[in-house]
Amino acid sequence: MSEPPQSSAGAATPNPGAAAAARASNSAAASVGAPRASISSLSSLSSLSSPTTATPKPGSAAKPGTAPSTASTASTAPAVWRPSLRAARLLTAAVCAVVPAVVFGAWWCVPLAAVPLLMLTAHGGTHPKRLRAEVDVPERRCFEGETLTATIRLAADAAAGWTRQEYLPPRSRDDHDFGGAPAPSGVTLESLELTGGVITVKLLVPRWGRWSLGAVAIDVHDTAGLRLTSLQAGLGEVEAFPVPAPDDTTLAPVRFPDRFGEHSARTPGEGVEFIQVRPYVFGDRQRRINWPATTRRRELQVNTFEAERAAEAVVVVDALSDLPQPPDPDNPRPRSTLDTAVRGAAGLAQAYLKAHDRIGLVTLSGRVQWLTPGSGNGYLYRIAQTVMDLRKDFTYEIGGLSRLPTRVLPRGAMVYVFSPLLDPGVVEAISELADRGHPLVVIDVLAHEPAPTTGAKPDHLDALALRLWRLDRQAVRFVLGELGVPVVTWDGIEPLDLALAPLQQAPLAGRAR
Amino acid sequence: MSAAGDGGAGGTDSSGGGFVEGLLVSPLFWAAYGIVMAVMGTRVPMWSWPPKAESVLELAFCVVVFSALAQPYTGRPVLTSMRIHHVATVHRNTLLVGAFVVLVACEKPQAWAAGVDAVLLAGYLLLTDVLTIPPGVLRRTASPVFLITLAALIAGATALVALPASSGAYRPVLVAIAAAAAVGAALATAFGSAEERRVGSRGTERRNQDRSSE
Repeated sequence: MSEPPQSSAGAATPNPGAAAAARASNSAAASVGAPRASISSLSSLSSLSSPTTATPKPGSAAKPGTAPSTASTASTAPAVWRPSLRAARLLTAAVCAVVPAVVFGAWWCVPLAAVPLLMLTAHGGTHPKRLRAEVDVPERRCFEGETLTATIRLAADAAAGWTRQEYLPPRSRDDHDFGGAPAPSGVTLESLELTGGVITVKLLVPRWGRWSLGAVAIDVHDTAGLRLTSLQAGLGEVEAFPVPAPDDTTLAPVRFPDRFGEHSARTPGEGVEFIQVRPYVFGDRQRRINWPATTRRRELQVNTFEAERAAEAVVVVDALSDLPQPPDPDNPRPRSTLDTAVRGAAGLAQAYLKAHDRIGLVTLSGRVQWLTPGSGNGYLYRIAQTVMDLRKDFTYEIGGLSRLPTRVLPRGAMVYVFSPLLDPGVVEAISELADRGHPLVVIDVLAHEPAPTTGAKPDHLDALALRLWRLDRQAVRFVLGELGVPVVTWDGIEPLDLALAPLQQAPLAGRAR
Repeated sequence: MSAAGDGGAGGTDSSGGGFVEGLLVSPLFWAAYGIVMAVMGTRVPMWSWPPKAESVLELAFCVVVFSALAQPYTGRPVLTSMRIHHVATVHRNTLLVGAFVVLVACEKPQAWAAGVDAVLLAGYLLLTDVLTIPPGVLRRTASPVFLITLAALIAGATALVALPASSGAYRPVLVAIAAAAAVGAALATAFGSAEERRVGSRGTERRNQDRSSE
C-alpha cells in the first residue's frame, strides 16, 4: 500500500543502525581529530589482560558478527606512537643545554642538561602495541530533546599510562565556502566520563533529523607520559524523531472514501448519528422502526443514520525555505519554520492515525518525496523517517506536484500544506492541488515578521522593506483566497487545534473539477 | 585483548593540596614564574647599576614573552593549522624552556646562579607535569626517590660548575656524558618504536596480516 520515498536518499532506511555503525567503522582510524578545547578529565588506563594472554591474537575479538550490531571498532591496527608534549619539553631543554656545552664549551649548562635528562631517562615508559576502541550506541533512534548514551570500550594488549578524551562535534558542512556555520543538528555534549576503561558519552539531540553524533578523540599516553597515540572513535548517526505538536483536530471533508471508519459521513449508512426517518421498505431491519413516527404518520417509518467512514489526509511539508523563529520560552527546542511544519505534520498524523484514518505525506524540497496514505501505529514513524533528510537536501528542482501518482493524493483526500509561503513554487503547487479538487488547508508557519539583521537602529529603509514584505505576504494570501483555499496561521507554540478551530464548523469542500 | 582501565588516577588531597591546586591553575602564578625565569635568564642579579638601556629592553621583552609562554598548555596536542601562532600556542611551554636554557647559556653565570637556574628549570618542568599528568601516574614518576635524586644531581652538577677552572679536565668528560645521555634519551623517546611508525609501508602491512592470521 505504501511506498518508500522517491529518492534513494529517503528516510525509509531498513536498518539505519547497522549502516551508521558501518560508517563509524569506516571512518575510524588512529588519526588526530580536529582540534577543540581540551577537556579536563584524566584517568589511568591499564590493561586487564591476564599475564598468560600477554600476546593475544590481534583482531580475534573484532570479528564481524561477534560484536553487537550497534558496536563498531575504532582501531585494531598497530598504534602509531609519537613523542608527547612532555617529551618535547624535556628533549628541547636537554638539547638546548647540551649543544652550547659541547660546541661552545658553555660548561655551566651542564646542570640545566642534567635535569631534563634525568626526567627523560628515569622512567622507561611502556605502552601497548595495539589499542582498540569499541563504540556502542544502544539506541540510535530517539525523540528530539532526548539524551543518548554512547559507550566506548577501550582495550589494549599492555598497560598504558593514561588517556585523555575529547568530544569532537559533527562538522556542519564539508564545503568551506559556507563558512563556519554551526551544525544544524545542535547535538551537544552533556557529559564525557571515563570509568574503568569505558568512556561514557551523553549527548543531547535537540532537533529532529538524521544526524551525525560526531566522534570522540582519545589520546593514550605511555606509562611515562613521553609518547602518545590518538584514536578517533566515530559515534555514527542517530535518527531523532520530531515531537508531534499537540493536536486532536481532524478536519472532515465533504466526501469520504469508501472505507469504514469513525467519521460521520453525510450519506446514509450503518452509523449511530441520526439523520431522518423515511418510509419502510422491504428489507429494512425491524429494530430501526421509529414507532412514534409510525404512529403519527400511520405507516411504518424507519430511522436513517449516517455512515461512518475513514478519512484520508495528505500532509504537504514545504521545505523549500526555512527561517529561524524566536525561541519558545517554555521549550528549549530550536525552532524554525521547517521545525514547526514537521512538528505540526507529525501532530496531524498522530491525530488522524489515532482516529484510525489514513494519512500520507508529500515533501516539497529539492526533490519531491512522498508516502502514500496508510494507517496504523507504526505509520507515524514512517512519516517521520520520510522527513529526516529534508535539511540535507540542498537541490532545487521546479517540478511541482504534477508528477505525483494518483494514489499518493487520493480523490477527495484532505490536504494540509504546512508552508511559510515564501517560495513562489509553493503557490504553484497549492494551485495544482486546488485544481485537483482536494479540500485544502494552508497552514502558514511563518508567524513572525522579520527583524532587521543589522544591530543598528532601524531606519526608514528597514521600515520600507518591512512594508514591502507585508504587501508581498498579503498578495500571496490574496491569490490563495482567490483559489478558495483557507489559510490559517500557526506559530508552533499554541496547540494546532486552536489554529484549525475556525475550519471545524463545516466540512471542507474542494473546488469542483 | 581485553577491556582495560583502572581509573586509579584519583588521589586524596589535603587542605594544602587544595591551595596548591588553586595556585597551579592561577595564570598569575605562572606569569610570576615566567617573570622570575626572565629575571634569572637575563642575569639581573649580576647587573652593574645603573644598567644599560639594551639590558633593560632585553629584560622587558623577556618578561613579557616568558610570562605568556609560561602558561601551561593543557589541551590536546593537535594543531588547527601550521600557522606560526597556532604552533607556538601549542608548544609554548617547549619554547619557554628552550628560550630559558639558551638565554642562560649565552652568558657565564655565577655558581649560585647556575644552581638557581637549574632549580627553576626543574621546578617548571615538574609543576607542568603536575598539571598535565594524572596524580596516580605522577606519584609513580615523581616519587620521593626520584626527587631526591634530582636534587642531588642539581647540587652535584652545580658543585662541579663551582669548582675552579684550573682544577682539572673533568669538564670535557662531564659534557661528553651529558651529550651521550641526551642523544640516547632522544633516540629512545622519539624513535623507540620506529618500526611501528611505518604502518603504511607494504612490508608492515604484510607483517600485520601475518600477525592477524596467527
